[in-house]
Parts: sequence; structure tokens; C-alpha cells
Amino acid sequence: MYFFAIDLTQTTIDGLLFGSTYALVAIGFTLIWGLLRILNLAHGVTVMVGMFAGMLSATIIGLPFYLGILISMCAGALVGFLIDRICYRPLRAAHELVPMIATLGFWILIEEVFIKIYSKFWFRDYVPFANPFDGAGLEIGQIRLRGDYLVTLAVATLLVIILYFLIYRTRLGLAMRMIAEDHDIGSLMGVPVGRVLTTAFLLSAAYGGAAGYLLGMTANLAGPYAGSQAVVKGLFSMILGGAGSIPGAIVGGLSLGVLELQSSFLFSFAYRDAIAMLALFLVLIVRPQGLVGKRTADRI
Amino acid sequence: MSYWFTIAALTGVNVLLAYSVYASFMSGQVSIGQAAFFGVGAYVGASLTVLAGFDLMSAVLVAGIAAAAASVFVGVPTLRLKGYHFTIATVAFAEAVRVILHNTKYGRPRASGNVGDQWLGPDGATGFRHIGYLNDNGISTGQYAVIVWSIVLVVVVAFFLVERSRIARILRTIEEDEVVARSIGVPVARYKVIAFVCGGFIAGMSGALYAHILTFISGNDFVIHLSTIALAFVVIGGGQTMWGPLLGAVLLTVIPEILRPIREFRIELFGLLIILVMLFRPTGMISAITVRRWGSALAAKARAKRPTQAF
Repeated sequence: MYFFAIDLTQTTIDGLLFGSTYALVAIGFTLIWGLLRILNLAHGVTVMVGMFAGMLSATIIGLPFYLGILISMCAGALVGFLIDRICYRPLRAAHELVPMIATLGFWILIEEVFIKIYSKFWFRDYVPFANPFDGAGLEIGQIRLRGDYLVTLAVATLLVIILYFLIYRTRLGLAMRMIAEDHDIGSLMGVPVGRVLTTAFLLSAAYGGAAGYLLGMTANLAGPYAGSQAVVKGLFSMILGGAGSIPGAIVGGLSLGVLELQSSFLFSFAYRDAIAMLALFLVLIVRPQGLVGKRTADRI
Repeated sequence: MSYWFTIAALTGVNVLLAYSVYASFMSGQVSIGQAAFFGVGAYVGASLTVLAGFDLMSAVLVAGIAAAAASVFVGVPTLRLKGYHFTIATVAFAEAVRVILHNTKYGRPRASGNVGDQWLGPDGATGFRHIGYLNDNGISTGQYAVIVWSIVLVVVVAFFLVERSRIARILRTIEEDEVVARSIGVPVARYKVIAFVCGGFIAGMSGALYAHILTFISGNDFVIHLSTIALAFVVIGGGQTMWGPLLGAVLLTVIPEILRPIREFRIELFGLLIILVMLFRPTGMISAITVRRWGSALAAKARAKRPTQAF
């Protein structure tokens, strides 16, 4: 019983630490959903590009960790810029679904091109990703905290603090909050809506890129399909916490991490995703706005 | 030739899938989870013919009913809410269904078969193999394409009739403004749920038909990609009239096949096509205005043919 309790705590802590990458992916989703009400299906591409930029800088060039993260964020932001210019900017006047379907096209196109390029260079499903914190760790009593997980949590926390500062302490954040309420009124008040939304795309994609780096580093691997997996995880973290809300994305990401690890620990690895998704669906039935989301629309 | 019959049958399946999205799309409810009902239909339909000895048509019908039941389960709690909660819930449900299908195992051992391939019925991650109904009953791919397309025809005619009825007006009113619809006495939630459940039924039938073409399905066939592509059929074809889903599904299924000579790049071209159509025709290929214009052109032609009316 004692050991069981130790294991349970260990799994929960690992889940929380690992869930912070899910939270980063979910923040990227939730920024775009909150401002534009579109699911940015191409978000996985930014995660994938971030992961590969990180892999190149860490494994091939051998740059230190903090530079690698910055490079990944820049690479992700570049993709975000493309998404804005190709899938969103020209379609601002159209129905919300139109840019969303355009991001689906972008996702299919870029992922396929990327896989072609990838398989020209490497002939296997994964390439190794250097992990400078491999084997390092911190022991507290009988609980062991993995070094790379701790770094992940630290980076995620830092990025979340920066995000909060941007949103609640700067004019840009004020403009974003205005736009989230109403685009037209925002633009009447003199908010440069287009420019703010481009910044939001850049920001969201930069966070996706950082998540890509951290996912690759903790797994020690980089693969071309990581983006699609990240789309699913990030989307579900966002939904679980509450679509469009930043605290929601954080709570959702951490809970998804805990939920996944706990269900593979308590039940079985095979049903890990099924249990997580069913829990999510039940949450949605009881609280359709997510765990911490606000109910934006009135009940009819 | 049988290759093109298979493509024809798959096109029919995709047309049905597009209409399943369109059913609730008419009331402004966007589902990104039709893959769930498609998957439920595929598993139920295949289990009925393979394990329970049903004939194809009743298996397809029962599959549709099972998927409709699943959509009641999703629709009733979420469609009473306004806004985007419904869309989000469909995504989550679809993923839950995919993972569950990916892990189910039932059925019975197969008499013949190689080692490691002796199970009839869904076998967890290995998937559901040997859906041999068409082969066992000597149905050729051509005949099967005819069966699929006759079901498609029934569905298209049904939508054609609905589109001209009071029901479509009500659904479009709900799409436009739910408060207005309520104020004129429309039971909004009931209409939305019924439309969505009809969509679920069509998706279930389509899934069962799909399973019998492929003869092999697994939970991973029903990923989020499939749901979004089903929605893309509608948005690219045009969601304002019933002709959009038909055109969108046919084009998006046939074009990648025609592109087969340059097969290496066909998926990229498919993605590019989606972006280009959205950039240049944001209302979809067929908008309501196109239909009206063509309709009046046809009417003018018909009038011109009647000389007595010319004077």
C-alpha cells in the first residue's frame, strides 16, 4: 500500500511535468480560437517544424539548449506567419469555416512535402534528438523528478509568465482582449486588427515551436508525424480546459498529462488514450465550456 | 475497370459522408466528428455481415441506426447549447470512438488462416480483417458500385425534397439566428438534434458500405483527418445548397485518383487544391447564387422552347 501510494504520487508528478508541453501546444490553439473562433489545424506543422529546427540545432550543430529553444520558436513563428498570410489574411471576410478548411489544406500540403524532404535525408521513422538532461534528476524522498521534465516545466512556466505579461500589461494585449470581444468594435476603436492578429499567429506558432523542441527533447526523438499527434493532444488539452481560455489551456494540458499517465498506470497502456478521451467527453457533457472556461453563449 | 468501379463506390461513400455533415450544417451546426459515426457504422455493419450472417442491406440499415443512436448520445447534451460547444464536443467524441475501436476485440477464431491471422472480427490494434461479404456472395465491384450509388441516389432525392420543404426553411432560420427562430415558435433544440441524428444515420450507412469495399478496417482509419475532410467536402463544394456536398465529395475523391500518374505528389496537390479553392471561391464551388442563376437560365430555355408563350 505504501509503495502504491509512492507510485501514485510519482505518476501524478510525472504527468504534471509532462503535461506542461501539452499546455504549450494548447496555448497556441487557444490564442487563435479565442481571437478568431477557428481551429488552426495547421498548428501541428509549427510543432513539427519547431521540433526539427531544434533537432538540427541540438543534434547536428550542437548548440546549447537555450539557443535551440529560441531557434525553434523563430522557426515556428515563421510558419505562423505563412499560415496567417496564406490561410487567414485573404479570407478574413469569409465564413469562419473557410480559413479553417484552408488550414487543413496547409496542414496536408506542408506535412506531405516535409515527409518527402525528410525521407530524402533519413531512411528511418525517427532521428535522435540530443537531450543534455538525459539521466539527470532530482530525488526528493522516494520521488524522483526527471531532469528534462523539470526543464520542460521551467521553460513552460517562463513562457506562460511572458504570455500573461504580454496580455495583461501591454497595449498589444489590450488590443487582443478587445479583438477577442468583438472585431468590429475593436477596429472602430482604432485597433489595427490585422496587425494584432498577425502577431497572435506569430505568438501562437512560436509557442508551438517551443513545444516541439521540448517534446522532441523529452522523447529523445524527432519524427515527421509528431505534428499530427501534437494537434490531437493540444486540441484536447484546450477542449478539456475550456476553448479560448489561457488558464483553461494550462489546466487542460496538465490534467491531460496526469490523466494519460494515471490511466496507463492504473489500468492499461492500451486504453490510455481511450480513458483520457472518455473522461474528456464526460467533462464536456457535464461542463460543455470545459473545466475552467467561461460559458460564452447563453443557454437556449 | 474494376479499379474504377472501386473508385466509383468510394466516391459514393464519400458523397454520403459529405451529406451527413451537411444535414446538421443546414442548421448552422458544424460537426468535426463524423468519423465517429462513420467508424461505428463500419464496425457494426461489418460485424453483422461477417459474424451474424446478415445480408448487406439490413446490415447497412442497422449500422445506420447504431450510428444514429450514437449521435443522439452526443447531440442531446450538446445541441441544447448555443455556440461552439457542439463542434468541440464532436471532435472529442470522435477521438474517443477512434481509440475505443482501436482497442476492441470480439468475434470468433477463423477455421483457416495463417498463424497470427486466425481471428474473425475486430482484433484490437490489428484491426478488423476478412470482411469478405462481397467475395463470398459473388458481388462484383461494378454491382457494388451500383448498390452504393442507388443508396446515394435515395439520399440525394431526400435532400432535394427537404431543400424545397418547410423543414429546410426552419433549419436555415436556425442557422441565421436562433433567437429569431425561437421567437417564431420553432423548437430549436429539437430540430437541431433531429438534423444531426439524420446526419449520424447517413454516416453510419456510409461507414458500413466503406467497410465492405475495403474488407479491412481498423480504428485508425477514423482519425480526425477524416472528419475534417468530410467537412471540407461540404465547405469546398459549397454549404449553401444541397449540390455543394455532392460536387465537393465527387471532386475531392476523383481528382487524387486522376492525378495518379503523378502519384508521388498527389497528396500535396490535394492540399494545394483545398487552399486554392478556399482562396478563390470562399463560398464553395457552388453557391446559392450559382444555383439560382442556373435555375433561371434553365427556366428561360424552357420558356423559349414554348413558342405560344413568346407572344
